[in-house]
Amino acid sequence: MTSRRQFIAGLAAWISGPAWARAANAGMRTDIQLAASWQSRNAYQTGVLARAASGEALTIYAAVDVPTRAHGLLLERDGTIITVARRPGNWLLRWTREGKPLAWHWIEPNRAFAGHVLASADGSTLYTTEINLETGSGMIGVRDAASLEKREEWPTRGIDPHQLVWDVTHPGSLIVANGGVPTRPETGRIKHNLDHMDSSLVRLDGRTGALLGQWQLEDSRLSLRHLAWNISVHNQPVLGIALQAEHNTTEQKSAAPVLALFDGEKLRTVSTPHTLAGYGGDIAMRGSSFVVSCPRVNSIEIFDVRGTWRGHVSLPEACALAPAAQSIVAGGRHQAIGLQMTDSDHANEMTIPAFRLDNHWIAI
Amino acid sequence: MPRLFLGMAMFVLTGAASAVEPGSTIMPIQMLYQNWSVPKASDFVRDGAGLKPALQAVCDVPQEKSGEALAQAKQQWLMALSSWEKLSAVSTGPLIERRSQRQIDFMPTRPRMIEAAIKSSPASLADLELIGTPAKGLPALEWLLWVSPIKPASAECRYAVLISEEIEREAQALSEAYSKAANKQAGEETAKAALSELVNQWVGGIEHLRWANMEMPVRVALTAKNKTEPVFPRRSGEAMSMLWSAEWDALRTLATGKGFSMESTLRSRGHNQLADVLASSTLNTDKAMQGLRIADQSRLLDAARELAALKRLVEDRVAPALGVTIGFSDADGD
Repeated sequence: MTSRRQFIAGLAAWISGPAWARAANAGMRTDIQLAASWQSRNAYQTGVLARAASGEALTIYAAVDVPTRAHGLLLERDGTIITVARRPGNWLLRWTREGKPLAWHWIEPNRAFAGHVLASADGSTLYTTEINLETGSGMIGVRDAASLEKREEWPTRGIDPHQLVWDVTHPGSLIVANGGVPTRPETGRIKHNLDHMDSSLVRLDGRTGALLGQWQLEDSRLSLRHLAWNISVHNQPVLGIALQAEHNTTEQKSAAPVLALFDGEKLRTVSTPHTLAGYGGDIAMRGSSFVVSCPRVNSIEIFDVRGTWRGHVSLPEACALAPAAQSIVAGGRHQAIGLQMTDSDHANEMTIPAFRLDNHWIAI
Repeated sequence: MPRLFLGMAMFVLTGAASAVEPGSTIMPIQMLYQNWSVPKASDFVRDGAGLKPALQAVCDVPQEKSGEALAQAKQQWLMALSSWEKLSAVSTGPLIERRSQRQIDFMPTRPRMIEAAIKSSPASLADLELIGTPAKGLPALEWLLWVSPIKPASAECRYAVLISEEIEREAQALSEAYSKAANKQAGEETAKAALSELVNQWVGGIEHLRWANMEMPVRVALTAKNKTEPVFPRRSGEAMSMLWSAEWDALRTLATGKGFSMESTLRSRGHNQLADVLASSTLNTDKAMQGLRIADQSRLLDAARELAALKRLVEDRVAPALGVTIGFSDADGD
């Protein structure tokens, strides 16, 4: 049984963050720092993983306990970090890279966070993907970055909204991935009526939320979820979209593509010479390449900007991807690798702590 | 349904279970419906049916005696809530198909919609169907009993009676649906899907109890800019204590209770060591869940930690041993 003193000490740690995390690595020189989220033996946490200069291990530099599993992360202009709960979630947390929570924000009862957050160029506004729990429809929460309070809401013209990015082909517009997977508030993440999937990519006016365009794939069982722009080719930016298949049969799922490309006008899938279990967990770009993590086949798949498959690298339960230190750092089960993306696609191996890493991490 | 008959049914089914081939899921799922869902739905029919006369009594008594009638109506509402929470803590089969939670337990209720609904003077269940779920169901009744209490011979009172009729109708429909499901011969694939749904919904249920109903209100209050008290989903401390107790009772019984449970299914498949771990962890959680009150935040958070540990055990070890993939668990991506 917890004593009153222990209870108060526990609350203080939960609110202010564990002191051990800040003190343990003070003064450490690092060449890679990643904000990430994970599940340790006894807690869900978000925090910073860092590699000591020329070291071979990513270790926990800072950690903050969070109440449910986390998902998307955002590095703000002032160096603070925002972590958002995994869908259907109800919290946002702003914290420092030393592991100090600065502000918790709880969503109103009839909304749920859908996993990702984006900032305006000047950092004054945040955009969160959300779900209207009454109707199931997708929403963008437009929030004051200082207070995290919602200023207004825009419909995403779809269901199950997930990641959102600024549209480099139409400055001032947002691109939002409507995952399209029907779920119900009373049954959480359980999927229903997959015959009625309705995934789409939408372009919204970044000032008003007005719909400026909407695109769908021919195969309605492909859920558009994670987004990354590649701007390596002058005047020809391409958006890569990691896909997750929701077909009825294992065979259909297994053969499904994991990457779609959008050039600002047309949306299409690209194929690979082998099956990838129809599940792209994260996507990143480096140079003229897209990289898609495929945890269900333990690999990282590499494509060029036109969608031509270039190769793959094995990594058990590969998922989180982030451009960092002239490479793409990919996280998996107990191991991470830094893909140099040179001609030889050389990979540097790193160990990571014995926890279950979440889908995403970002370089800070 | 007479309790004696249910007791006999349980005995017969428990006896029949010994004839089930190891690893088969057909009989355990039928046992679940027979031993758990059907009687719990029947309890809800009984307690839900008690709402209408209790509310009608408030409408009919003279003003000076309305306090006593209101107190009895509140008591009946708490009984109906307890039956409902036990039945719906782990939503399976008909509860999901009928979307009953949305129909009669939509939260948060909308006071403005309730006021508008009362002004529209619905006179029948058909009229009530035109009114949105946020203005109906158990949460709306709670509002009309605790926050803005109904008065005799008022439009509010008539509206409350009508809501209770709709709850009773849904309870009856659920009971019939569960009886039908319990008597339906399921093939192996259907039974596997039902077991998967049960374990998944159990995990969802324990997480809902831990987070939405216990820990989140406390955390929200602790991290508020200005000092504030936790706001729990139900409006009275008595209702919250009843909710925690009822939901935990359902989760505990489906984890390790007599008849069908995850523990008995593990043992039938030879996973005795894991079954022992599940039983021990459930017992620890049960101790932490006893006598919770909204004023004791320290104990609430202790109990929430125990619930989280039990959930992890089921996700990480029990579900794989039962051949169940947790669809909305930590192992699933996004």
